[in-house]
Amino acid sequence: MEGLFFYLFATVAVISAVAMVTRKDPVTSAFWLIFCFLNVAALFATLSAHLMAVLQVLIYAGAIMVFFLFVTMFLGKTKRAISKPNPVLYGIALLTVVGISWFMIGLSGGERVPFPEVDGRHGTIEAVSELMLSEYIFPFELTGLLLTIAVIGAVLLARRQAPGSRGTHFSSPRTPVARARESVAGGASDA
Amino acid sequence: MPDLTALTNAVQVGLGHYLGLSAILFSIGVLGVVFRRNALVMFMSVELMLTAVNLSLISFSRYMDDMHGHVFVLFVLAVAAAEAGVGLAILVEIFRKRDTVDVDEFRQLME
Repeated sequence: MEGLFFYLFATVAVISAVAMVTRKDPVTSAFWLIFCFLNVAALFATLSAHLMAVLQVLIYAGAIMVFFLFVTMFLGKTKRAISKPNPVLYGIALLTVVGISWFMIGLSGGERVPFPEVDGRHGTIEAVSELMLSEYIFPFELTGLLLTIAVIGAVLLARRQAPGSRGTHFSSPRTPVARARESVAGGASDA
Repeated sequence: MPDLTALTNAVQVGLGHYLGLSAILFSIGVLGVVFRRNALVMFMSVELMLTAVNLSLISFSRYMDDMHGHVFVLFVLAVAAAEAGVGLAILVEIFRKRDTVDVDEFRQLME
């Protein structure tokens, strides 16, 4: 039964990931990515990583993607989707894809390595938190520090600057005009 | 309810399947970063790559019957959240100055 669920969720996850990369509108991309994350969360559940499945839905598909959608809609329309073909980039991308696939298939031995039976504790919140708050207590505290620094940095970056200081204001009268000019130029280059 | 025993035995999956799926998702993320010029979609592709790595960490964790991979995934989640926060703040700041999020337009870091 696990195998059936794997193929179902894996197929949908790959299809939605491809859709995320190929859609032109960033908002559509974000929704496909949320769908992909939900399917990956289901795959986590088939690996009896229950806590991680819940956190994937709550943090990734929930918090982070809502943040992405918020910024995407805040920034408005963006013009071009796919870059001009660059042979070097195509080469690098092809090499990366082939290399990663080859490495991963080699790592798994190229055959079906079945999973061992695990007890009911595997992946529960008790087991994860026990490990995290004993053996990994120092990295755990460092994570708190990292998140604090990230919050301070984000607030400093996104803060509206006081008049007379360096940088432009988001509500400056120049911005809508420039944006309109941008959209006209974008429409012209698309045609 | 039809009898699914034969079908279930035919689709037995193991570590290799999950690692292969992880490789495919990571590759799609790499392709997204390389070919998309929209900085927002590039960020989303990075998130997809992180998720692919999480998937392989958790499948190894299941394979070894060892919980350390799960703790690692938690740390990856925290770093991804921090990265998204700071990265999108930088993006908003760039958009205020340049009125675009097309990375081809970012020829220099700051004018």
